[in-house]
Amino acid sequence: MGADKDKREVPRLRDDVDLTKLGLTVDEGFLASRVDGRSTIAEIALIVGRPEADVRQTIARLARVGVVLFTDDRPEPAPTATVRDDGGIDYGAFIFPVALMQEDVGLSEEERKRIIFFHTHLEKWTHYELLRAGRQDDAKAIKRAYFARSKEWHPDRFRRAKLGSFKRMIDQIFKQVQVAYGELSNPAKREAYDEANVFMVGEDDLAEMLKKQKRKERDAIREEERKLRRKKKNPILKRIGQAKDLYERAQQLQADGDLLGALRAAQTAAAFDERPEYDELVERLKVEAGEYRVGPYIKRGLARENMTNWSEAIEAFEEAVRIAPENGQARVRLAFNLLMGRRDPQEANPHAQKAVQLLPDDPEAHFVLGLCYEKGGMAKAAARELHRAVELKPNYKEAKKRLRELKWGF
Amino acid sequence: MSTEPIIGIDLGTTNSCVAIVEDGVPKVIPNRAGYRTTPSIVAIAESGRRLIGHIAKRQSITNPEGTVYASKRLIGRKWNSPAVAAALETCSYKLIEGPHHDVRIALRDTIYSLPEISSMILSEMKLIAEQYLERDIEKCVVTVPAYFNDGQRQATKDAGRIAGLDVVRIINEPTAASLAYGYGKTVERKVAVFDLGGGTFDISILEIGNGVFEVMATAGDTYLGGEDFDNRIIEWLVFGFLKEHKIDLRKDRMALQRIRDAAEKAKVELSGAPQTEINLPFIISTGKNDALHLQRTLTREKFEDLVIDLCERCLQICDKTLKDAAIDKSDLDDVILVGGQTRTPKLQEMVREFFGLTPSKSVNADEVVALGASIQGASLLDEKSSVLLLDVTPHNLGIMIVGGYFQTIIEKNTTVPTSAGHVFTTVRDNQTSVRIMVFQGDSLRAEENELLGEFILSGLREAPRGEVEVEVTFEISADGIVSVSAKDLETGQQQSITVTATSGLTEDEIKRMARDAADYAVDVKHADAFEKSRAEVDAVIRDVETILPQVRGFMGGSDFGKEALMKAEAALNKAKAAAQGRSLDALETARDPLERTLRMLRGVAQKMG
Repeated sequence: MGADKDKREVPRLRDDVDLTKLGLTVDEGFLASRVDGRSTIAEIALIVGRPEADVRQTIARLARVGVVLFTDDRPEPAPTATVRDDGGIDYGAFIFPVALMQEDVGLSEEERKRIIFFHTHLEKWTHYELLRAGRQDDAKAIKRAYFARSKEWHPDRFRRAKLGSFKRMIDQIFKQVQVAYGELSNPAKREAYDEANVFMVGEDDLAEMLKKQKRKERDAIREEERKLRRKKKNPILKRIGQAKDLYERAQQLQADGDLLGALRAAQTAAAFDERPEYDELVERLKVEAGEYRVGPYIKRGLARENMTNWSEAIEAFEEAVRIAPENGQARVRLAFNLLMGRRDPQEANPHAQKAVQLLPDDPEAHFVLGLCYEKGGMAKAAARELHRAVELKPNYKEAKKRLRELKWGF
Repeated sequence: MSTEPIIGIDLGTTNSCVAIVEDGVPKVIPNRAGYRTTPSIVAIAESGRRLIGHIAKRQSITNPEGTVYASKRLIGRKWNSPAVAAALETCSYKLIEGPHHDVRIALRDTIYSLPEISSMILSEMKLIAEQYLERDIEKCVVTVPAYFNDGQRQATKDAGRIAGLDVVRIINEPTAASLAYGYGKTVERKVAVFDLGGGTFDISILEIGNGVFEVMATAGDTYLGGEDFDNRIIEWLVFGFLKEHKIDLRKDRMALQRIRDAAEKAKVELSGAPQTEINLPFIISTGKNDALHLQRTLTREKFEDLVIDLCERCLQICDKTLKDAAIDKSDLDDVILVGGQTRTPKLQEMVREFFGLTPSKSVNADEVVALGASIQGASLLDEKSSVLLLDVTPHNLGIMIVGGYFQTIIEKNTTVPTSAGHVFTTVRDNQTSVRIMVFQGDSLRAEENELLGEFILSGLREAPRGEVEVEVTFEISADGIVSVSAKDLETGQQQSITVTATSGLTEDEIKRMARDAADYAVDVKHADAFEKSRAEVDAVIRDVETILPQVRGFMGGSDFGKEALMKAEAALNKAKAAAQGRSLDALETARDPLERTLRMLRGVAQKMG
């Protein structure tokens, strides 16, 4: 551990060390408790109110026993450490944390070293390195390697009374062995893994840097993928997400004019997730889509009306009113045709009234309602409506004519 | 032996077997009567004496209500399960509902839980091992059908505890069988273990290589076994009789017990002979000092007709298991048949046809499971052991999510130990707590699976639904213990439980039963010492009785001789009385004077020349 001050200003605690198991002094323990992974040594000195040099010295000691790390010094092994073909390990200059080596557990020194060594390498090693299999190995050889590693790392091999911090490390190693085998034993997964872990030839710095860069990128992508997968896997989130997509799609379709498609999408969205805005959209679309569907019927009705085919016109407008009860025009035309075809003001009147309600500024509606009252013998009311029609449309000849006739009637 | 050995016990539906690895060689320990397997039958005799094994089996005809057989079919079952419903119809002993929806058995005046019944068999196996090894045994590996659920496994563990045994590991029967099959072999093979025992059917596919045994897939049916084959013969006999005489023999518990024995015997005979006679004279009294006999001939063909659907069901399960695990039949190197029921020729023929392989003859179907258990026991003792078992979880493990659905977190056939997590979200706005209900099973509906436990994670942040994330993590240890934890990803707040399936017994009950059983174990051992001592004293008594009349005339002449004779007679009478009694102390007290008397009498007889 060198003295590169810039990099070494922010100490953090190793999270896998139990402080209580170490013979720290009160002073050291107190300082360790102030180490939060954010404050620099100078800041810590300020917090505890002690000379910086003093604090620096104590923290350096904590770092030596393996309690404290600095934010960007990953516990990386010296590059010379290698696993020999016979399974033995040349640890090279690998530094073993004193705390772990001294912990009171039923493991030999060599066993401790081996566990610590494997554990610190878990994330660094590729699946092949962990299983000690060759990249070109066939399925059988991979399985053999997996069996051999299982024999080394299965928790059954460490059925000792005291394992302390090592228990978790052993569990993690075995778990990683399984993960590695799980991926390499499945041809599709292995192919994907191989692609994502292209081997670098040469050991020069550039290659090493590229490798690191690539790994970082890969990690970022994986993290992203993992998040995505996690979201996808969760059925509730999935449905909520689907509902949101459908809602957006419904809005798009509405804008494009496919009101029926929009309605379907909005209804599905509302069924997936009960949000008020989804329900509102459904209601809105129901009205709009009704208007939309009603168009052809009104068109057909008007054509029949022009041919004075009252009965078929009534049929068409009745259908239109059924589909869109709130469509004023349909109501007006239905009332008019009922009057003309069946000469029945009683039947026509409610439709005409509704039409006036829906379209209070439509002269036609007032005119038809006026006709209803006239035929029903309610001259005063008829006059009022006709006057209103003329008011709205001063050159409404037909209305003026009826008004004149009404006056004659007096 | 320096370290305490771990024995292997095959706790079977019909027979149990115990084995141990000695000097690297697994071997079956024969019981006191010399049999290598012991019937899994427990009886309480009229005298209140507890009988286990062969002796319990022999007296079952005269004591049907007091004899429990095939109790394994009921262990860990809920009162309302189909297995219990079926047992209620055919069992000769009385079942009642326990306090925790479990099943209890009423024998004479006492009510026993299923783990207690199993514990009696386990104690017997423990005793057999202790007598053979001449030391106390406390640790064992017990086998269960691969398809046993957590509740059944837990109940089996409880049984071990009641019997004073530390069950260090529960392993699956087919896995155990493969351990025995592959032990000491260095070859790499893929094998199928076809295990049709007394009460359950299991199929497991394993890959063996260099001492590592990896279970690739396992499945089965805990409602299918040799007992069902017997029941088919029983039905055939009972209905035949009903048709002929209009009498339902099932109503008579003693008759039913005789038929059950006969059916089993007939089935066994048909494995070797083309037909067999079933002859049960005086099966039932018709009331007018007259009795009816049951006499029928069962041909192998007829038997095969009766059970063909059972055989087919086994193969259907095999087919599904292979498909689920994406294993090609042609990849398999061997098929191992385990369990007595696989001796049926028709079944062997169907298995051969299905797998395209002649089943391996290298293992003994009755003993292989116990041998495998002992191998696993030995490998757990020795960290450098050449054997390692990579076992899997037989059922999906997961939690209930909104709508009552079951969300799998650890899939079945996953190698243990393992752990897996899954992130869930709240389903309601401002939901501040989530209930985590842990289930085990294969159904998509949570309620159709087995509930293992539940807990609540509370104190979540109030937020719109879907926003608060909770990570649920499952962990299964190598011992098969499941622990579940839930963590609020935002606050880091965490809740966890170790899931112990309910075996139907509370912790207090188990402790009390273990105490009672320990008393009984002392009692049994004491009885054995008494029997041994009495046999020896009896021999001395016989010697004294033969020699005494010979020396009477010679000694009667002198006062000294008279006194010696009186003393000899007194010692003899005391010993005889002690031999009639039940006290070991009294017997031992009487033994010494008697032996001195015999020496004295022999001395006199020698002088008489």
